[in-house]
Amino acid sequence: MIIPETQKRKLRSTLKITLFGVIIGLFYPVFGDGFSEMLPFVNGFSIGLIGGLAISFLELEIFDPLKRRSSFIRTFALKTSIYFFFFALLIPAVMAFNESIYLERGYLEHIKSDEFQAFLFEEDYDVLLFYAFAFIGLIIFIRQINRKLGQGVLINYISGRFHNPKEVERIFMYLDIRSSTTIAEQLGEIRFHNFLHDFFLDITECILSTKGMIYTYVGDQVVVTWKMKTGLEKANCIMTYFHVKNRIKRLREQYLENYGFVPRFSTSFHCGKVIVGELGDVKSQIVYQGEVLYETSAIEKKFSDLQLQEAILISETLLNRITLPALFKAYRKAEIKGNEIDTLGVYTLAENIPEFHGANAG
Amino acid sequence: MQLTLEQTRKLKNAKVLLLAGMVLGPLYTVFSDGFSSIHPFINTLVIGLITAVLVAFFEFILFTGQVRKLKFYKIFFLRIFLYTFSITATITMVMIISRMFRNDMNFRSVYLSDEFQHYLWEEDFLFGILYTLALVTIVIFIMQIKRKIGPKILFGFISGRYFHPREVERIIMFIEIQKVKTIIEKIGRVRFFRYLNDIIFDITETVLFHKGEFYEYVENEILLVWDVKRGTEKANCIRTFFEIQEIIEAKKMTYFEKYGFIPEFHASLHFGRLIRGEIGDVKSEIKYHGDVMNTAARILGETNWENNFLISSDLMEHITLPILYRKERLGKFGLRGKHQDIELYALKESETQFIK
Repeated sequence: MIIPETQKRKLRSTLKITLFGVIIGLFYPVFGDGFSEMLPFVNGFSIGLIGGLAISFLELEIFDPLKRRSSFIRTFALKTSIYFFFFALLIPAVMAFNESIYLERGYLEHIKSDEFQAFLFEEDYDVLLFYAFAFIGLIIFIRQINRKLGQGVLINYISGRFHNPKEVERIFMYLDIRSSTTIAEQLGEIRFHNFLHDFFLDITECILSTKGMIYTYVGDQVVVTWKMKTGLEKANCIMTYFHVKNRIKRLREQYLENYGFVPRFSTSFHCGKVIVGELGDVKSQIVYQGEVLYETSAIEKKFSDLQLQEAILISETLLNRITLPALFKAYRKAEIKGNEIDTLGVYTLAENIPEFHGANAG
Repeated sequence: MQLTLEQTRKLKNAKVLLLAGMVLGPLYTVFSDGFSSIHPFINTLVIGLITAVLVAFFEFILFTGQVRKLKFYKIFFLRIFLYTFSITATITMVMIISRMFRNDMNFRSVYLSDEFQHYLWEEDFLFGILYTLALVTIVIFIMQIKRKIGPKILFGFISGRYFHPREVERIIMFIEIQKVKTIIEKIGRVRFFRYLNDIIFDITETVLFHKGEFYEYVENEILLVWDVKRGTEKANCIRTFFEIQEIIEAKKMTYFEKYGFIPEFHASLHFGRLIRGEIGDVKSEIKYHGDVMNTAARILGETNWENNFLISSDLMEHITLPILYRKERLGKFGLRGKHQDIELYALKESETQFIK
């Protein structure tokens, strides 16, 4: 069975969150009760596990799809309070359950017992809640900041991986919205901004599902990069184009209603060596520099005088290394002046359906 | 005494830290001891304040400058060691001293008392240290992220200030580092990247001092923005560029030794209405969109070695030029892709008048 990339990503997130939950759950008794008893650890483990699974479910299935148009602080407040109430109920429920088994008592009987009532109203319960609350807040905060900054950016900042610039090999995709000047004039500046934001939100999932990393937004353009290995595998980088195309097609009614047109876009692909590093002191950016970027943008400019079946252009360099989906064949359409070679071929894709030679033919 | 901007900023940050210490310290007591007695509150308040001072000292005085360029894990372990040690010491001391006052005992007898030994080994002591360490970690983490993504951006993201696009009036400055092609050919891209980074690090203080914000780095261009009021008062935006040149001039020997080049700049200044808003979901960026951006870029295209600093007359009208500088009218320019001509001034240093 092949699990789609989106599903895999969700599974990975679930695993990460749950593991974290279990660790935090096991961590508390170490400081609260010490190692003398087994029960607190069982409690910590089960609360961490159930809580982690529940948070994963809510985050990935409910909040992520809903998130579209809600600001950071609102999302943060909403999530934290929902999770807080959830844990406020989960903690005593789980503890009572475990303890009732341990003490060989009935569930309700244990809840009503003086011992448990004392725990709720006089002992550790509020500390526990505070502990859970603090960690929930922290996790959500980091998750949200991480998302805002972009894939891998936070980790790179913290680890200082790109403190010194390095040469790396990357695939680049420029995705441009066609006739954006006309669109901007038609919509006015603020609505144009909203349109861009909508468009970028809509295509984000397509980019993530092919393991692309959003590098930056330049005007109406998104720049996406892949490491060579992940980009070439299953032709991930090129598949992004088809994902975006399908997604926009599916959303065309929405665009027509909101803006009065369906956006068209074009994509250019190229690969090669670039320098990546962290630039700036206050306001650091992780920046790519190199001829490859100029060349990709030169490819992108070729769209204006070409009529293509698919709005996709691929450089010779990348084409030589990638295995195309069987349905497509590459056709040489243009040339640009490259840095290493004088003429760099630029190819587009078109469907390559072999003619059908049925029994009745000829 | 006039404080430098760096000192003012550190002082401001230190105040925020102290406040955080004052709140987060007693918060511990609320959950551990409750409101039954006043002593735990005083203890945690003092611990919070001392911890804040420690963080301020370590982060603003110790972990600055060259130390920041050390490898991550080295700084990481150094931090863990220093903070664990100093926080443990602080909590122990505060607890002992508080008991000295309450019980009227001397230091040694408090330390050796059964009650205190019990507290150290069997009660909350370890938990208190961990609580403090965890909070210190979070505070440092937030401080660093804030610096990395730009001082205003983090709180902008959090408060959702940029969430809905808005029209704002801003001054835009494009600074372009010259002779890029030659430099890249001579020293290669990796060293060019360092060269660029050195320049940005060197000019950062000046830009912040004149209330500018770093907006973006595009290739060999640095984009700065000002709020119109902040940029025009004391001719901040104009002074910034002249001071950048002065700073680089003062460091030209270092640059020449390291790279074989002395940085040279062209710059353009313009202002007008822009749309500011957050764009993108994963990897959000706060972007300015508008014609003003293009115009400023076009003005940059009109610069040359003689007139390396151009300003639009629209903006010039709003600024009183300091005595050090003079303007030279260049006339109207028809910029590419623009219907209206735009009038430009070149800004230059005045001839210094010495006593004869």
